[in-house]
Amino acid sequence: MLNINNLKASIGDKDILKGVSLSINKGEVHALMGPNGSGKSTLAYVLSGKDKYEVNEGTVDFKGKNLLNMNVEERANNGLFLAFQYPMEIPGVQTSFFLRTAINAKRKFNNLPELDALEFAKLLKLKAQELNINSDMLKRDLNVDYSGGEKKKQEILQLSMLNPDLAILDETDSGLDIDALRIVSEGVNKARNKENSFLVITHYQRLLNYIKPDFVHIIADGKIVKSGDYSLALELEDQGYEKMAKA
Amino acid sequence: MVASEQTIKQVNKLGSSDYKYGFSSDIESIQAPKGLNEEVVRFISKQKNEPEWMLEWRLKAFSVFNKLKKPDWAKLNFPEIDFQDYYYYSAPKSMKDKPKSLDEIDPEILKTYEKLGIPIQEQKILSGVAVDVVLDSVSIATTYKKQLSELGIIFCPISEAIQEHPDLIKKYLGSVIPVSDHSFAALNSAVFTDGSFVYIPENVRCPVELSTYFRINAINTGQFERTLIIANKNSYVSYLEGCTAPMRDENQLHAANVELIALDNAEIKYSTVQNWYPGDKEGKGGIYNFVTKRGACRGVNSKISWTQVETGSAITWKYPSCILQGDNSKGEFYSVAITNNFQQADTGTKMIHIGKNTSSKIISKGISAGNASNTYRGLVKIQPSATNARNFTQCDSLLIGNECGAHTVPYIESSNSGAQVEHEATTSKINEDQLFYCQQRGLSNDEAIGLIVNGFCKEVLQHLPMEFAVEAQKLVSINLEGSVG
Amino acid sequence: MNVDKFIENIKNKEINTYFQKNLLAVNPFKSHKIENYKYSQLNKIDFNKSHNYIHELNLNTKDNFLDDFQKSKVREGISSDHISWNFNGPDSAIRLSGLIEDPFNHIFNLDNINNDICIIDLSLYEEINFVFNYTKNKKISIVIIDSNYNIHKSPKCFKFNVYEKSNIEILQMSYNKNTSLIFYEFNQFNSSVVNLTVLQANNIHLRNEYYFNLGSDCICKISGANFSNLGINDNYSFIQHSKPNSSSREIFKSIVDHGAITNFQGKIYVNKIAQKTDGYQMSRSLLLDDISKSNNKPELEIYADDVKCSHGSTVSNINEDHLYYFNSRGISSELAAKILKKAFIQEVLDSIENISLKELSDKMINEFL
Ligand SMILES: Nc1ncnc2c1ncn2[C@@H]1O[C@H](COP(=O)(O)OP(=O)(O)OP(=O)(O)O)[C@@H](O)[C@H]1O
Ligand SMILES: [Mg+2]
Repeated sequence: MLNINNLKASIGDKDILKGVSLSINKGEVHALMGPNGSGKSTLAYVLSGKDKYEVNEGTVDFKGKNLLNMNVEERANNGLFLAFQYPMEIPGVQTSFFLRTAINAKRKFNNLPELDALEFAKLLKLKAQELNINSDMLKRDLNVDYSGGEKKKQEILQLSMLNPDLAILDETDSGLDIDALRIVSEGVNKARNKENSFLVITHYQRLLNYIKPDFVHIIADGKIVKSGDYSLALELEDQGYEKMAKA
Repeated sequence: MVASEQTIKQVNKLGSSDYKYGFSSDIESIQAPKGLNEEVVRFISKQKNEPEWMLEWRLKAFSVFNKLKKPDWAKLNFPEIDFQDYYYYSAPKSMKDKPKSLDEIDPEILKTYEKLGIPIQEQKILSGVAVDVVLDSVSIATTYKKQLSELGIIFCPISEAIQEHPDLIKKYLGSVIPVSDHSFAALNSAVFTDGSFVYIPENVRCPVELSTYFRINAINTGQFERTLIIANKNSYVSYLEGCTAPMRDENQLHAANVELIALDNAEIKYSTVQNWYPGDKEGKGGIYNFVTKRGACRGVNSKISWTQVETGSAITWKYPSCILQGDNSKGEFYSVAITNNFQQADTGTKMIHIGKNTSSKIISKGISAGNASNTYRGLVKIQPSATNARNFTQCDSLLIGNECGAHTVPYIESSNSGAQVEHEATTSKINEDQLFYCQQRGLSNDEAIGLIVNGFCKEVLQHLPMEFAVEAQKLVSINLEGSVG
Repeated sequence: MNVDKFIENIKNKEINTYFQKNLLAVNPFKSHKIENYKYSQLNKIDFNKSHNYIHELNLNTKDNFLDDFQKSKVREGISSDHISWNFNGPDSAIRLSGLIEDPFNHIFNLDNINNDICIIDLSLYEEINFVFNYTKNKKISIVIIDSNYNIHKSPKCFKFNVYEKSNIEILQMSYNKNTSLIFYEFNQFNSSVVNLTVLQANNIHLRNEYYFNLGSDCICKISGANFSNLGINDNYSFIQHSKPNSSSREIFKSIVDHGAITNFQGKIYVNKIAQKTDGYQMSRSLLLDDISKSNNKPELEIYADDVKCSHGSTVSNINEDHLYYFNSRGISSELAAKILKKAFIQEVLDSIENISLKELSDKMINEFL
């Protein structure tokens, strides 16, 4: 699915990713953990193709294609999804309208007819219910005045509507209360299947109780310093980053 | 709630008696003949022993002045100025042969400055401020000169710089404020008498604050000072300016020009506490203050920061500006303008963005009490070349009483799609709940209003150098003393 | 028709006092000396120019967006004050048409209209100096259609007397115009409400001036959007709070590109006795290229101390992070920009209260954006 090889990236003249290599296969869930400022979000942004991040070295292969050659929307339409750590507030754009535009952009890309209003409404209602999202909220402007947790839920709603091949969740758990954490995780687990993959960025092992990763990676100062299975997360919880990074 | 009856009464009670700098000194002086004509321009140049090129420059400026109309955009009300009714040159007699050291200065002059609390005596200089003192038309004393010259810093009266550094003067004088900019600029160029000159060489950080105190003493005298500050590459200087004048029934005229030039990576910080005599509580007398201050950020990464506390003058007309030419250059303007009784202020700034990635910040606080009128007027202009320029402007006005006015007039012009300009302004009354709270905690009304207004101005005052910040805070309180019942 | 003749003809008529004071007295059509900040110079406009720039430039001049609305809601009415109109049902509209005897001095008595919506198509009249009177508590919505059916060669003057406790909503749609000059005066008596929305698109040269005089306890709302214009777009408002307790709220959104220039100037003026005034004013521009310009001068002139007044102004391009968010969901930059432009003026659309008018406006925006 995804093959990152020795990826180096910078913003301005600041080097942030200093040689990241990571392979994610179909059907796998990988967790990425690391101290604040270690480059987790940067990796996510670079993969999604955000402007201003300069890739200096390395390759990224996504479903057999060169990811780095594509622009942001091509990556998205090819099945890459990023659930943001800080979802954007966009006044004047209704959440449900935004969702419909996004879905139809993808369908158009795949040469499918656009969803009509009714089909879309049905789908949206179903998915929103699963995530326990109030339909009134979807009539409001995108993320505007949503609480921190509501924003995160809204991101996962987009995920479940868009059905990506690879979803990157950047600290989706932060800001969620206990119930919301469970509901969101269930949503993710439901979306999970043999054909798709997840890269879950988090600080807390708690989330990984719900979304069981196949692999755990620790990133520090722009490099993956340790990889292992789920037990690595437990060890980390126990010992903290400092010790683990040194070890 | 409207400011209480009591508040308003108290504001009205506030009279000129509170202007503690209002004394005049009995200093014998040499004056130019009254009035404005070519002869007077020649007289001034001669008194200053100026070279021919300087006289020519002045004469040219004078002919331009005769052709220009007075600028008329400001929201100010005052009778036509009769330029013939002023003396354009006044110098203490004892200064005829310049004193070689402070010991030779007329004790009467020293007393004047002592009363003002200005340290021109060497021992006071140890407090770390180098001072140039201008009385009426001449510079009285410049301190700290030797120590500064060891670093290659030039800090001297501009009259001296004309004699000793003609190359710098020829190159930079009038290069930021063209003589023909407007009539006051031309007038100043023709008849300026003294002021300060500062040159900071490459890679030098001026270790002390440089400071000038201006004082108008002689009757019916116009003061036209000229200040020129040049910060060469990678240098830094912080400059302070203070002004006072005696209480007189006539309106005295003050029209200064200040030019700043910052080259690559240089920074100039310019602070003013303007406390010219504001006139009495009926609006009689007071200084007409027409000041042109402009800085050019010529070099990349250069920065010019203006901070002003304007509490005095009957009329204030002043727009310290920044021309942001160099890429990544920065301009700042922090202003507190307080008007009381019949004072009128029309003040603000101009930020002209020309270079790429230039940024500017404007914070303006206006406080209006009594029958005063207080206007913020500011221009933010983004030229098509100023890609990625940023501006943020915040203007707040406070009204105390119902006979005064507060006005906000920003001009925002953008021609670059990569630029971001943001302007916010509010007008409100002084918060009576806060007043009540302070009073309940035992503060007197004056103390309470001083406290609240100082809080309102804090964002600006904190940009003043330490020595000035304390003085400015006191001034803010004094100027509104008696404002609340 | 020319300006001089227009001015000659409306002399001694009941007329927009603002127009009278500021324009007739000094005639800026002759000289530009008294002109306000950044104004397009009226003396440079050639009203008699026969060219129709709109057609010359081959612009999209469709106005199909009006069709549905016209068909389903509108009935033709005759603009005579002797007939009381009453067409079917709630939310029905009447389109005023027919001859007006003296267009220099026509007084509309809006009280006679029982429909919720009243449409005035300016293209039907060569020259206009209209006075509208309204006294009813019931809200009436007026649509002013200012489009290219003919080339107006003179300014248009409106005066609205909005009497005590009455409530008017006005929607002005200016599109496909070569030149249009409209001057409004609103006299708001105590406790009256005016909600004015202005949409300007696909024009060459537009200048609107709004003068409001507010009594006590009034509400005044002005919302404006201009987009896809080609030349100069001027909007000038002067809101005078003459008495206590009124609120005014003005938002202006401009989307500027293709070398267009937008000039906004607005003043909130608060009289000494107008305590408890609540004044708000916001002008925002999206400046999409470097050959276009946005000039703004929001002004506060305040003489009363117990007031809450504020204004703001911003000029910038479309937010890059917003674009990125759209892209990251697979939406192309082109479509995203279109949606974000619409979102930018959504606030103006939201200010329209009448649902049919909101729909109509939505269609117009989609047509020209
Ligand atoms: N626009 C920027 N300009 C300069 N430095 C940046 C920028 N964006 C990020 N950085 C820096 O890059 C480093 C990595 O940031 P990043 O957001 O990827 O960290 P993170 O691992 O996601 O941290 P957290 O756990 O706090 O979310 C940090 O030191 C950050 O300050
Ligand atoms: Mg992060």
